[in-house]
Amino acid sequence: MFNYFKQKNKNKSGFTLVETLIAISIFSMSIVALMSVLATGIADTNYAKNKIIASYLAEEGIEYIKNMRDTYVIYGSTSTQGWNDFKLKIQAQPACKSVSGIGCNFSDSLGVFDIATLQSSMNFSSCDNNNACSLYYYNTLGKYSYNHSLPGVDSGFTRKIMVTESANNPLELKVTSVVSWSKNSISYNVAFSDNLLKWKE
Amino acid sequence: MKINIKKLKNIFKKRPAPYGAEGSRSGFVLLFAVVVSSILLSVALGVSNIALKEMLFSTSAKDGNEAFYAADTAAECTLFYDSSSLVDNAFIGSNPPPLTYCDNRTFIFTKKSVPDIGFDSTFTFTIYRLGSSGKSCATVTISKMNDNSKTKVTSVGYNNSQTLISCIPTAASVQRVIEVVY
Repeated sequence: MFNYFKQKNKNKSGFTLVETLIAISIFSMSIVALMSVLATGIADTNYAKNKIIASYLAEEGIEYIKNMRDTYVIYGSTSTQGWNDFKLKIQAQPACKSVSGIGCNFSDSLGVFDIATLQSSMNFSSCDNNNACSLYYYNTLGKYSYNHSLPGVDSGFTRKIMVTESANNPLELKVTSVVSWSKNSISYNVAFSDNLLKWKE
Repeated sequence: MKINIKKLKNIFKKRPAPYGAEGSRSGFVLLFAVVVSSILLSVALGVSNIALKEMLFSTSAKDGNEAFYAADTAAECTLFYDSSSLVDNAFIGSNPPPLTYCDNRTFIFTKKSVPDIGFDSTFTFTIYRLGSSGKSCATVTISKMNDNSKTKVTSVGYNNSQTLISCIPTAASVQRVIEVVY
């Protein structure tokens, strides 16, 4: 055995070739590893970015409805009347009711959000027709909106609002906001829900 | 160990590698490949570390909102049962509201034997199975003065509870607190 190695050491021709082959294989393995990690890393970063945007959009959806509730309850003739008007408005669109599961959108380009504007111009429409709930991004305003008529681009996010009335308490409404997006034909979503009650005296 | 400067210099001498790579020159390509590979792998490790941090950050943004809305729901339910249009003098003395619903379920306010400092009576109530995932929960404490001059509602929400019938946070749960004083 010892003699064999001794002989090998003596005869070094071909060593550089073997060495180069091993070196190339190590090098290519590390390149492959780098590439795959980079690809996964970039995809993950992209997913994280979309998830952050989606959570803020879902939060915005709930805040819009909450703001509507507050405006109706504060500026209604009585707080109960305001609450009932608010409930009537949102439940007038069957798609908003959670049992249907379709979800709805709302007019988010009214500019002002006072009680008169809400009563006259606020509309809830079904997500079922013509991609109505997809959000467009307006670069100049830095804003996501359901309004598809302004110059903007489809952000790829869809937001559905759903409400469920409590069976035990007519003064309670559960609002769910679901933002979904898809990447490489896999769909993801972020959903938040909050219960709104008529607590103003 | 004595470093042989002459041999070390020999490595960097620009000349074609001899067939019989002798002494310190042998294995240089291998060494070079290992060094470059480790640099590339450390870059890959750095990239994956950044990606992992971003994933954790985006998850915390979602979890924070889940916990916040759980706390908000519980706070709204408490404010609702405190409004005088329902029950007069709720939470004063030993009077919790008789029948309480929150998120379409019955919950009971329990009176704490020792009220919080600065208040005459304190009640608590726990709600669970909240949020879109049904895992978030919240615990509310409402403290009142007997003359109704001051009320404090503290709602502590968590995005994740250990069980679905209690509100005990896990080690990784995110907490959000809403405090209402009036």
